[in-house]
Amino acid sequence: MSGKIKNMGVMGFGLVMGLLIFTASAGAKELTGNEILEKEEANRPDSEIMINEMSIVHKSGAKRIRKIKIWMKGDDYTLVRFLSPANLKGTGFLSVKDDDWLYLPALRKVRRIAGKEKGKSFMGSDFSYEDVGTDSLADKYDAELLGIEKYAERDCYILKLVPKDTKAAIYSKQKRWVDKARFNQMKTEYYDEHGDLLKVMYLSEVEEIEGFWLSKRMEMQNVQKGSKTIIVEKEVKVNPKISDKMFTTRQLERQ
Amino acid sequence: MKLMLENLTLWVGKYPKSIIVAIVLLTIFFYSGLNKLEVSGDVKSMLSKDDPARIAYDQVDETFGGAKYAMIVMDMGEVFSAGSLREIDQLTLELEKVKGVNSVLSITKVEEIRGVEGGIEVVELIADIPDSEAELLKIKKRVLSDDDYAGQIVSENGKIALIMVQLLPQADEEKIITNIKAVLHKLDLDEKAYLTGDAVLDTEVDNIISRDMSKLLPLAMLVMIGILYFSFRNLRGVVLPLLIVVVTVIWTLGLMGYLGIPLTPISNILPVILISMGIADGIHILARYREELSLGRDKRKALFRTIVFVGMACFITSLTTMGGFGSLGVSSLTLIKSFGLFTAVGVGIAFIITVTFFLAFLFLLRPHKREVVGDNKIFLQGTLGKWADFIVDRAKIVLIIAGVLILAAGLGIPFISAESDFIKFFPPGGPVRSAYNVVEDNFGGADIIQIAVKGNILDPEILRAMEHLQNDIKEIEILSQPASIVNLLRNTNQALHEGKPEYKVLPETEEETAQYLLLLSLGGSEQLDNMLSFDYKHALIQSRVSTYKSSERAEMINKVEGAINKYFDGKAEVVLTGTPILACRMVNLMVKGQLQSLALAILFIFILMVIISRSLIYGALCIIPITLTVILNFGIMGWFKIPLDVASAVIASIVIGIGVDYAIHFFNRYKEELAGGKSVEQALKITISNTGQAIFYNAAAVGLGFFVLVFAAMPPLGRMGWMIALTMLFSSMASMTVLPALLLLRDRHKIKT
Repeated sequence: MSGKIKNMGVMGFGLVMGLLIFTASAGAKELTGNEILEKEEANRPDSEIMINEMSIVHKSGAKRIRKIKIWMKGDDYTLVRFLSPANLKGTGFLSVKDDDWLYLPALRKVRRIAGKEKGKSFMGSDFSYEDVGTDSLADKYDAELLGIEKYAERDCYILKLVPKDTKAAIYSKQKRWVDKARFNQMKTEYYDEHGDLLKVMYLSEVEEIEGFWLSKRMEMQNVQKGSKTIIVEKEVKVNPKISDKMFTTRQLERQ
Repeated sequence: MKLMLENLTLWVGKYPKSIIVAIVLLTIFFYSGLNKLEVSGDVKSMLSKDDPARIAYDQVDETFGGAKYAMIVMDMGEVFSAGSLREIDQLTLELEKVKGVNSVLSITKVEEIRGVEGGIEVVELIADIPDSEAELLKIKKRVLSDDDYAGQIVSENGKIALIMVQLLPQADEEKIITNIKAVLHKLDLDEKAYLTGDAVLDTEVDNIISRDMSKLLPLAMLVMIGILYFSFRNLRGVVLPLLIVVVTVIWTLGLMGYLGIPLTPISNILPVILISMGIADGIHILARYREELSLGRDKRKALFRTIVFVGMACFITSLTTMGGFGSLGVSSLTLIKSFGLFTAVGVGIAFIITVTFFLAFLFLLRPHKREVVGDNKIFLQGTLGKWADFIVDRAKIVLIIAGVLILAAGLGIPFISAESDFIKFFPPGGPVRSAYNVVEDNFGGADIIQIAVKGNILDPEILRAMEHLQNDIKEIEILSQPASIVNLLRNTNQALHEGKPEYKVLPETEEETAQYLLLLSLGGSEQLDNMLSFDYKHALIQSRVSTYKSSERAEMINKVEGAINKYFDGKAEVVLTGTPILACRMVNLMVKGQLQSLALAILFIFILMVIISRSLIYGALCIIPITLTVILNFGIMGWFKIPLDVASAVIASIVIGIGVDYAIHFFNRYKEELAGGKSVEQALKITISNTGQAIFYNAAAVGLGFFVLVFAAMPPLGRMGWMIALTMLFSSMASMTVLPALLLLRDRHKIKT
């Protein structure tokens, strides 16, 4: 007798939950994961010029703080100029596709650096080029909407990103929190090839700049290495016209 | 005190059963503490937490991602073959996955900074393993001609490869080593690979400790059973004293388990010591009890007399033994301190168990027929009688012979040398020793010294000081080519200048250095982390040490410290550390602590004896036999080249604590007989032939108990075994020769005046 009642209770609970989920998903504007990702991307400039303060914090607590000016166009073109510390002032770094060059003012020489490719870190930080780049994500990932959740007092979509080409991808999975109203990224979890959590990015101090909702503070924590990098944007120009000539070794040599 | 013992005996006689039940319950409680008992053979943990050498070591450990290494020696026949390189590569990759491993360095992993057309490369030295013989030969030539690699990760003859596995700070060494062994087994490399390095040595010591423990304990028990049977010839005489030691060992080890005090290579012998010492009180009590019974006294009366007369001596001897071991508590070495203190506690426990548990059983059991008849005095009685006659007749000759003997031994004392030789804890010919020797012969040693520099490392002056220091280190015979950020910067400079040899020098300005380091980090160099802290405030110089001989190491340390002062002179904070430095520090503390402990032990016992006998002279007389024994002990160490190490350093204190017991028992009986109206000569003769027998059994029990250590896998413990056995013989002999001779000369004189 009592067993029956229990079963009925479970059934009722399931019904109510099902109804709730149904109304919740019906209530959303029925955007798919991929559509949300595209909207997020539309909120990202194609190019940027910015002055950043980048603090890389080692797991020991030791810090490197650098002020850099960055010219960025897509994922493939990056030029970086060091403003501080004093002993690196004027040092330039150029990355075009898979090739990197460094300009050393102490030697007045440009040298190509060929290093080990390991999900290439951006300037020795915990960010990869893909994390900070402006390239299209929708081309590389399939997004699935997992649900809606409040994060940092904003309603956010939760997306699961799985790479289309698993071989080329540096992450096996990403979980992204995207602001439901502004379509800017709020937090992302990155998973390594074993499916283990590798890094978590937190974005804050969101401002509207020329129609884009951009975060002025990005913090990337590498949970496996125990390190973190904080980038604080001091100045930013959105979608400036940058000539491809900017991204040449000749330009690199010019201070 | 006597009154207390009488009351105690009354109390035990009243409630024997309750006492037995209570002790059994407590024993069950302590027994469950045994599970918590840990083993630790880690050199670092032997130094106290606030020791400057240990603090420096921990700092290096934290700052540079681990100061401890496991080394894998791969005897390949030919390293530069496609097959061998692939095996090494695969092993390297697998080892990197082991949890707790920070980094792995091998011939297939080591980085090279290479100058290329218009640029620079930070690449693996062997990025792709070639198949063609010609290519392999080319690589071999390059690698073997570069002293950054040859003699570092490949032997100079190209036959043996070395893989350095860096452990994360505070990693679970034992687990990592087990996992490394599993990886070797999985890749079917057990035959070719040998493990060594400080991390491996530590774990192996732990294994040996556990193995020794399970081997020596039963053996010691067996020896005790033999001695007890020989002494008492019945089941009860064997079982009852054994019960004392079993309970004592469980209580002491259980207590250590509850308090989180680990067993070390030295305290590992604690159970063996407690077994042989815990039995002593039982033997004296049982012997006297039988003597009393044989004189026709009834059980209760016999027990009372026994406790009042012998119990007092047992109490005092337990106290002195505790004093001897307790004096090790002043050592600044955690290892020796905890050993001394817990053995002292164990001896105290043994006494308590004897006068409660053991006594309760004696109250409950009916005396054995043979005990009442008293036919147990068959052995030694005659011999001891003759002995007594000889000493009483020729006291002066006895003293002269003893004097000459001591003098001869004493002359050997200056030849004693101290030794922190940890590799000698391992049996010669075993796998640990062989791997160690291979690394020593081909790679300049398995131990690493570390020099941590704190300051602005980018400052050219500091880098130059580091370079000078490294040049000096290279000249020290037992040290290998040092490695640090200096080498990396020189190589980078050369690579940035088209590989021209004249550019293999340090960059000249701080800017240059900073930019080179940026370049290295952007190039993805992983070796940087082990040499330079992230904020460029700490740098590390590492060099391998090729010999485990303490004397040469001490000299090396002096030289390195001299060079540090010469080149840095306040420019930066520089500390020298590493396992060899910790070990040397340990030896110094050991020698210093040894003298303090000895002085303390002798003083404590002297004061105790003065209080008991109420006479300065008697106090002095009682410590004479042990003082002579200690001189003999050190003399033997000098003559037979037995080094002062962690094991032999504690012998003298043990000897004092235990050896004085014989004098105390002797003295106790002698006084009792004098008080009973006997003449000096008569009193001495009775003492020698009666108490002498107990002393003989007691010394045999303790001596043979320690002798069991001869079967320990660790050679220093083995030596300790026979040395303590020998000193037990000496101190018991001295108590029955020198002591009566001196007593005779003094008291006869006193009586005459």
